[in-house]
Amino acid sequence: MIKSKKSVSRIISYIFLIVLAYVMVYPLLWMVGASFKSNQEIFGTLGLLPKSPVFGAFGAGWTGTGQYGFSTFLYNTFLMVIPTVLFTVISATLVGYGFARFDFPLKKVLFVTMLATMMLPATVIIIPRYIFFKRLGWLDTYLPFIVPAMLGCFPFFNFMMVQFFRGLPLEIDESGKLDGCNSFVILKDLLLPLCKSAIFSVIVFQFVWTWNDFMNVLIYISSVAKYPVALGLRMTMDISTEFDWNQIMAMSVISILPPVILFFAAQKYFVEGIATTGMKN
Amino acid sequence: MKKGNEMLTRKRYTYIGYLYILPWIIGFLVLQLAPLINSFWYSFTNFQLLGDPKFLGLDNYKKIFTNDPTFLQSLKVTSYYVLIAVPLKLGFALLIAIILNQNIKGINFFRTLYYIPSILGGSVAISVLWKYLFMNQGIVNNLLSVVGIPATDWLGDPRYALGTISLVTVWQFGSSMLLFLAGLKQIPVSQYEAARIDGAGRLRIFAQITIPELSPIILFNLIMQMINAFQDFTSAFVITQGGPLKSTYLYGLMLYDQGFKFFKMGYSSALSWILFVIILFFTSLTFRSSESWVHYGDSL
Amino acid sequence: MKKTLVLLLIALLAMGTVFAAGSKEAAKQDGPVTLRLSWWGGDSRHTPTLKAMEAYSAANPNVKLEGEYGGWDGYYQKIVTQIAGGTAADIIQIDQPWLAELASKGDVFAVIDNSMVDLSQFDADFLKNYCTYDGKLLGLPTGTNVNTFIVDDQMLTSFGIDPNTKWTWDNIITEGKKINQKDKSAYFSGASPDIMRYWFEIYIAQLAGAVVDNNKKVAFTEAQGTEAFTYFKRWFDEGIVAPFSQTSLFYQKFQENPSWINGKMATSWTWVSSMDKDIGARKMSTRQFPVMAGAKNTGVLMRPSQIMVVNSNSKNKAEAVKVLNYLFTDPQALELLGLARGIPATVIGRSTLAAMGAISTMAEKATNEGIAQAGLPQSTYQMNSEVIQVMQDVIDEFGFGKLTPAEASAKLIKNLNAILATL
Repeated sequence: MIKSKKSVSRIISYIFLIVLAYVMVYPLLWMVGASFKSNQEIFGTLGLLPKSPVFGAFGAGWTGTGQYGFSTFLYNTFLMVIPTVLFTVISATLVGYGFARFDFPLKKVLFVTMLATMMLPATVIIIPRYIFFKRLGWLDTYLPFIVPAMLGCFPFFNFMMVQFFRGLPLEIDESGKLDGCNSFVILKDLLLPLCKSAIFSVIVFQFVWTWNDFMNVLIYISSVAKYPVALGLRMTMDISTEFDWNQIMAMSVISILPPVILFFAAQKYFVEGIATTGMKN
Repeated sequence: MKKGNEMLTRKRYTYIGYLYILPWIIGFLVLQLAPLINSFWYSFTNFQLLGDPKFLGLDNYKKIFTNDPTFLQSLKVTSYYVLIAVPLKLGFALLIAIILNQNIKGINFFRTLYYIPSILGGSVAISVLWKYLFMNQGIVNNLLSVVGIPATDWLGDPRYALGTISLVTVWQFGSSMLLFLAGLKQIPVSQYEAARIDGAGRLRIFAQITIPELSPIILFNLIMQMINAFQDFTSAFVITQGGPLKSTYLYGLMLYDQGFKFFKMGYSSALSWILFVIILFFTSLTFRSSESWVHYGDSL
Repeated sequence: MKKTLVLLLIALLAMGTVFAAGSKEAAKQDGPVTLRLSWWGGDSRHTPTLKAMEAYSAANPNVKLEGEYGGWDGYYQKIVTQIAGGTAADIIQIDQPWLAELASKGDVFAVIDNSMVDLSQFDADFLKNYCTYDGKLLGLPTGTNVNTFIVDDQMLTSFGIDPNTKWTWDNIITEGKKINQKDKSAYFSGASPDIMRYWFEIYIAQLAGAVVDNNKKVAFTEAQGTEAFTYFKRWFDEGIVAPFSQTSLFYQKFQENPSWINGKMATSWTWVSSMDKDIGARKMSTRQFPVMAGAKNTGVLMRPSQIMVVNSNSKNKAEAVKVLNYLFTDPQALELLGLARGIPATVIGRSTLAAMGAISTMAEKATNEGIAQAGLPQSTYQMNSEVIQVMQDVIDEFGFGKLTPAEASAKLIKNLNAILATL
């Protein structure tokens, strides 16, 4: 009796998950379909599948007709995203650990200040920041993304790591101290292995956000040779002249592949939680 | 044991903490402080992007509070947006995370699919698609007509547009879901086992173990989603552009228009600092309340 | 305490190094001059422009030209940020309304005179009305762009309307309503709320000359405003145009409305420059606009497709103007550029393209008819982004049925006066 009840609830769960999956993935399916449609069909019909498929959008979009092809933009994006993600992980871990596990004068004030930097809308900081980066000579480079990552200027991640560290019992630190480890060793050898899923979240989030960032790259990067995909994608979208939406759709599909692959591949770190890493009592 | 912890970490300052947060301190002083001060100064001027700003004293603020109907409209729209989108998104994210935390076949597959909307973000394709889903002759109305619900202008009717825009936000619940999942993985299995031995039912386990253990992450998600929602305008920007009848004219959209459409950067800065104070107020409130419901592993 | 001090010191030192690293500005190289050109557009503009730039560099090896180009999204914001930061390109493509908007904020664009470019190639009034600010010529028009009225002959015929009708304000309603009467989902006009604003501006221009005149004054009376709104109320009431709840979604993108694409809407106001995009796969032709008897002004707009300006901060202004001159008047450049920026505004440009047979008869007809019907240029105040917003907001409220014609007229005048006082 209990068993059948369980399997019924399991089936309901599955149906729910599958229906939800369809809703979640529908836009992507639609984009793939739209890659094979003409403009008229994209805008004039509702169907997912192209009625009169148009091929060649992927090829044409990939080569582009300007000076640089999509491969350049992809390469540029990696150049920008990988260091940014790497440094974010390091700085967020250090800063998060500092706030979570130590008490020092002004800690509360500093913590609130850190959070407060997220509360002022970016719109009004764009110009002062732009002028500031100009003085540093960083315009048209990826430094406006990489250096803030190095210096922990993504409070979201710092705060996130604080919360994850604080979720871990202090006994872990205590046992490390008893073994004579210094605070860095405690972080590296005892706490970090327990935060794999948190670290993975930092990687995925920062990867996706930097990958998709349009406003900042638009402002800071001016050479076409250095355009990342977010700019490359919109490069032919004009307000008055006609352009092929299917090429935009095709390249949109390609450009979301790296984040999706990263996400899928790195998932095993998610399945491993504290349970499998094992905590010695 | 309890006392011992407090002795060790609460009472004695450990200056080495500064060393860990040093990157951020430098980053804040070097990269963030100057632009903040700048924008604060601009809020008292008529800064127009070009030319020298002229000091206006409190004029910008005075105008905002006494003579700007758009400000009130935006504030209203934004409050509704925060109230609808944040709880729905977090509730949904938590529900899905808990379902996905069970041993379900193909879980990696589902997780990836559910995260896809968050990857798509404000993609150019999405803005087009949402219109086609929710327009008068759109897919949603087609589906609803099957069950006899008459066609509705989900994005064109001022009564429904904000709700529809909020749906886009809820639909991108992937990031919150991921954090909940990560938090769930941190809960020691031993605790569940102990509760089960005590004969606790599913609901009790959820209320007495899952929620308290997850509370630091719930707090984090709540605060971050709130901060974001107050400033967010991507969906409204690309889908409705604030319309119809300013029913989706979110605060962030107004800031953008004032700053980059009308060049009133000084005015826009003043508006921003008002929003800053509002967000700060609600964040502090949440933090204050968290003392009674957030449970940290380090304060066991 | 000591430790805190040490830490602070380290922080300050680190700050210093970052600043030092940054202040090493790239040393100025002598020799070849590098000029940056920025524009927005699609592939049909990027490729020819790059080719023309290449050709210029081939002929002038000491000049290196770099293109900074992209789509329309965010272009304006980028340009504004760059101008504010003093990093804008040497040659910049701007939209016509930006000229006054940006020039009013400071000395942004270099002044151009006849010694630099052969201005006789351009229509003098055109330069004066659209490329001049405060008496100074600040840019050159890439092409001539005019309003046109596009109609779907076949669709009109199928609803029993003579496609060759000469349109008047009256017969738009008497003839146009036949469409919606026969098919509830079809309409005579494809106008979205922004296009309705253009229609309103045309109507007011014919009644009163302008919405806002050159003296920064509202140029129409409340009675005239009410008359205009009363007329357009009939568009909604008699099914000439679809309700705003259906079209507001396609604000500034009426051509993406499936009803438009699928031939459920017969006509539209548009610009010749974006006509092809709007028509898409449909078959349409162009007509002239209705003009009321005794009209003060036709309200039909003519303006440059875009304007090319030279950054007043450019280190090589003289060289930049030379490049402009090349792009606008050199036969080789004109041939390479083709229709990348619409039908050229220069005499030599038009004759070069005509000789190549590049100008389509439809575009030519629409342009000529538009020029023939074009009214007075709008005042810079009427083109001001805040003024436009005020008009749009009132028209939205009116279109959604929140305001009667009389209320809409009163509110529009009140709000316009309020905003004009701050400009």
